Amino acid sequence: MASSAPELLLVSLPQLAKGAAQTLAISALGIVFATLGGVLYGVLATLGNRFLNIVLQVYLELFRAIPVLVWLYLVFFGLPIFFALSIPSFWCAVLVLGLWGASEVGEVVRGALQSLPRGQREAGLSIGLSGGQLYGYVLLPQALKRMTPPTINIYTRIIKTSSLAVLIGVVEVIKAGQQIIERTYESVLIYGALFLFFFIVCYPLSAASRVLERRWANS
Amino acid sequence: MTALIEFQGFNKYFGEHQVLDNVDLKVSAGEVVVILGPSGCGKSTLLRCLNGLEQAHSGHLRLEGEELLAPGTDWRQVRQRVGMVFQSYHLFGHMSVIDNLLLGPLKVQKRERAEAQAQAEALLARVGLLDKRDAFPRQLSGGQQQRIAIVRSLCMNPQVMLFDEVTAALDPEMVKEVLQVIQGLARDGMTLLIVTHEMAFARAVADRIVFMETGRILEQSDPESFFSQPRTARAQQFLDKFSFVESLPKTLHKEVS
Repeated sequence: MASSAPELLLVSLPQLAKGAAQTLAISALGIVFATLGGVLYGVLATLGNRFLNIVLQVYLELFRAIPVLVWLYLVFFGLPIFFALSIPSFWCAVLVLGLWGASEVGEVVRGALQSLPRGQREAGLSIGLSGGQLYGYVLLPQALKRMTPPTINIYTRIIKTSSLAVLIGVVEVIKAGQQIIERTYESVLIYGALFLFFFIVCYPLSAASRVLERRWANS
Repeated sequence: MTALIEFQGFNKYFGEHQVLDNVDLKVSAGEVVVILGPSGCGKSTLLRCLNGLEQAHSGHLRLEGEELLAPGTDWRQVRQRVGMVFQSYHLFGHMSVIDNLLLGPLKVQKRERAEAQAQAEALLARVGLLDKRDAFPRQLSGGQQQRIAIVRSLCMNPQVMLFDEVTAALDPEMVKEVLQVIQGLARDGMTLLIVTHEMAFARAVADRIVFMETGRILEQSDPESFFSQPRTARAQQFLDKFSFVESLPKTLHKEVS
């Protein structure tokens, strides 16, 4: 049994690192899917198609009204029961975080696109751009400045929310920490380390978001 | 001779409201047609229909004899032949001037960069803005932005240019530089459809004046007859409003209370 705090941390480091790697992997994949899905959502939501808008609205409300934890349970326990489809817990977490994040990022992208002057779309169309070219060359690049700061904030929420994956059996950083605590009873030390971990990952992001927001506020 | 552009029995509705009512208008190649009329008379909508930014509801619209209201119309193709310049320029704010100009030629028309760039630079020089090649729109005055917007359309080598109140958002001192560019195009024999409230300009540049009200064409004539002796009372009334300011008498006595 480890005797001093530094020694304990050193001994438990590999286990914590393994958990941290899981947390970072789930978060990173969730962020990638949230971003891709969010851009797709934002583009679809600004096409002006009635039917699409209803579908997206339902999707959005489902993720706003139902807690992420319930979604995790639904996907992890529900899919095998109702669709005989079993997904490993790691990918369940990625899927749910990705879908939830996409609804959040999607609303940001939609808002950023809609805040562009209508004339940008018309000017783009009037030189013969296709829909894809219009979004790719004209609309999305200009929306980028408005959507980046709030999107980075959503990223930090995805990272923090990834810890819920523990409840469907993923051994991410918090679970790893709890396992060490069960063995050593050093809760203050380990939770301190967890606190530091999340802070080190999330603080630079929210700081970056603030800096970008200030820099782009008047351009 | 077949007309380059032909509206025939053309109708357009916004919901229940009919904004264009049985419009018949023929424009030949090389003709400069100025459309006048009070706000809301449908003149801007007419231009926007020709560019496919608004959908027409019935009638015919032909470009070089080809029916545009047919279901299979490739509007991307049509828009390359019909350039449009807007009241608020709408340059792409995140791109330099030259990138604004080259987007269509390179991405839509898939032309060679060297050739497209040479054309863009020649046109920039022509409107006196070659030194703004690498500037961004926010660094330019309204008049400069509007001249760039005209060049952006010209770079697509269109057969027709549509001008939708292109000086309405400009300070008076910038109006001149934009109107000079348009008059230059007219002199070169380009086909132009112009919606404007600049009466003197309309008179100077037009081959024909079209006067519209409530979605209908009330009269068409050459500019001299239109401005000196309009045929309809409504046109006379419209012109009187513009000459009212010019002939306003000097305020002589101020009431002191």
